[in-house]
Amino acid sequence: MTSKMAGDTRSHTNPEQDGMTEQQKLQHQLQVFQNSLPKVNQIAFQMLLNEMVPLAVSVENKLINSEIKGTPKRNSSELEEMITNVHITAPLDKPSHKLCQQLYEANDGTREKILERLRSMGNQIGNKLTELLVFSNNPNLVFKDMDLLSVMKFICRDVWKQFYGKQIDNLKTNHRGTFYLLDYEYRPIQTFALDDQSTEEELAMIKPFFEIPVGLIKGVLSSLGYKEEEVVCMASYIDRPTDRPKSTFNKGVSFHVQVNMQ
Amino acid sequence: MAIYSFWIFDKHCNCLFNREWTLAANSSSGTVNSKQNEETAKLLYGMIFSLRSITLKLSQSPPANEIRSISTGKYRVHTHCTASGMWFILTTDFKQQSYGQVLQYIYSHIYVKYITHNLLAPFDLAENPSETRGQGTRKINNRHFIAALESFLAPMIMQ
Amino acid sequence: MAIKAILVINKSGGLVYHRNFSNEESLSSNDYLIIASTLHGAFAIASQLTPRAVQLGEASNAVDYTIPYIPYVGFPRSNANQNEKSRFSSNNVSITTSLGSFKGDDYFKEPFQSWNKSGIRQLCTDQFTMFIYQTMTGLKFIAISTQIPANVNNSDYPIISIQVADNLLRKIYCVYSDYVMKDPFYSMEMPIKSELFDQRVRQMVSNIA
Repeated sequence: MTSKMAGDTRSHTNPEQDGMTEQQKLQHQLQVFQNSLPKVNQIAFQMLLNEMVPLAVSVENKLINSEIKGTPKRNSSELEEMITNVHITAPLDKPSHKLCQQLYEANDGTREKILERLRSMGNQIGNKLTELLVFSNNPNLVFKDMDLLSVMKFICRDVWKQFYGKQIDNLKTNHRGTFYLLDYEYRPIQTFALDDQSTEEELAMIKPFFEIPVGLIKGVLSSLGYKEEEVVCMASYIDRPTDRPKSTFNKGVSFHVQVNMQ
Repeated sequence: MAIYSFWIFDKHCNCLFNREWTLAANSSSGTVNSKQNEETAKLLYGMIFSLRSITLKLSQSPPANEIRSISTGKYRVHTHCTASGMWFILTTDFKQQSYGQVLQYIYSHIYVKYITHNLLAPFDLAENPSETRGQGTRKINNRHFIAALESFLAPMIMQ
Repeated sequence: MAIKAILVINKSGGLVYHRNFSNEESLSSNDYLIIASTLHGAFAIASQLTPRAVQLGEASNAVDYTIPYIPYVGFPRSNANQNEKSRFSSNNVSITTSLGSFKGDDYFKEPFQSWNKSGIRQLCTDQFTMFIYQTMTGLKFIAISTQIPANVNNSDYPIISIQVADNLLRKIYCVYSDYVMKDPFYSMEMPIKSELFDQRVRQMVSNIA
């Protein structure tokens, strides 16, 4: 709201803007608003984003531990044990790469729990991010009758730009609720690699990192009126087209979105 | 041939990576992380460590007096020590004078990019206290790191 | 290249002489003893570290260890010019006497072999450069000079500075053999107390800058 007011006064006081069309004024206003927002370093943001995966594993570990230990009654010996285990600074978690390894080796049940946690984190962010992107009066956002294609374009263009600093490379659809969002250079994982050459394991270990954007997509869709249960979203690897410049990570990511409308 | 070998040591005195070239005609010759170089690595670390203790002692003003290069009649050792305790070391022929920028580039554009930003790799190769104090044997085997390093250094080998 | 300090280390790593020329506060003599023995150790390690490529290629491209003679290192500039002239005129008696028992106007006038083949010869740091000259008997003469600028256009610059330092240190070796070895009260491997040696070294170093 404040930004709009600031924009209004500006358009009255600044004679240079009088020659602008309404569209240009809105563009300018958006620019002013975006410049006023606090900025975050992309590297720091990506590091935090990536740490969500090992974090989710660590949370699962802690939950399992507390379930085992979680007896309501404590006798004196247990209390003593607790006292001896008290640290002034909490012992560090396992290093992130170990947690990723653990996720790779986990059984299906545990893994699904962890992935679900990641998706729900992405979902939360997606829900809130929509509001942030929509309220800023972006003149580039046109939701014609809130149709699915424009919402998808919103994800590809604005959400992705906000989150990963680039747009989705390719959007494919059959116009009947099936979409493929293709990102040939998914930024956060570009330099990920295991020591040895076994790419199968490496790909499997990197795959959980796509659960955050999966949740993100579902979150954005649900905040724009497409209910959780109507949307299926999955990430998978695709080969990169040969005409694209070589990148460190030699696979692209395809986000398959299926919206079942009643 | 200008470059003979390249080494990385971490803050635990462990050799994380070594690359030795043996033939001037072939930039892909030589060894990567060779077992035979374990002893050489220890000697190299020891020499630089003790010389560093001298130079730090002889330094007059607050900025630490880091070693830039050590020259013998046969070869020269260039060092780059980072604040985080990493050592990047290059041995070249004794005529070459300054490889500081080369080592700085390897640190900032190759090591940080492919090792630090890689979440699947440990940021500290020593996993427990028994692998510190030069006892660790884990090595960097990241293929992106090795490929980038090779392509960066290859043009300098036959200078 | 101004000399900040001169050290002499005997063949077993003991410090036998050290003189600080800069007025920066110096370390304790104990610190210098530690420095000497550490250098001695690192010097020995360096010869173990010869890269494999050098070991393999040694026969084919043998390195030339001849150090060229650089005229009048450690002589006052005016004196050097005078010597240049006097070379064409008759022998200048006053100069020959100033070189102790050495004949001629310089201690030596021919290129010489470096005995320091695989040990450390030069150590460059942010603040200084250290040069090591080793004699055939294992005695080490060390000069610490101010830092040599890394980005000198002439790519041969560090090599020339090594050669200048080797010439200077070899002259100090000449002075050592003249004044210390002929001192009847000097016992081998012990600290050098000779006043004359000290004087000579000071004189030579003050002429370098």
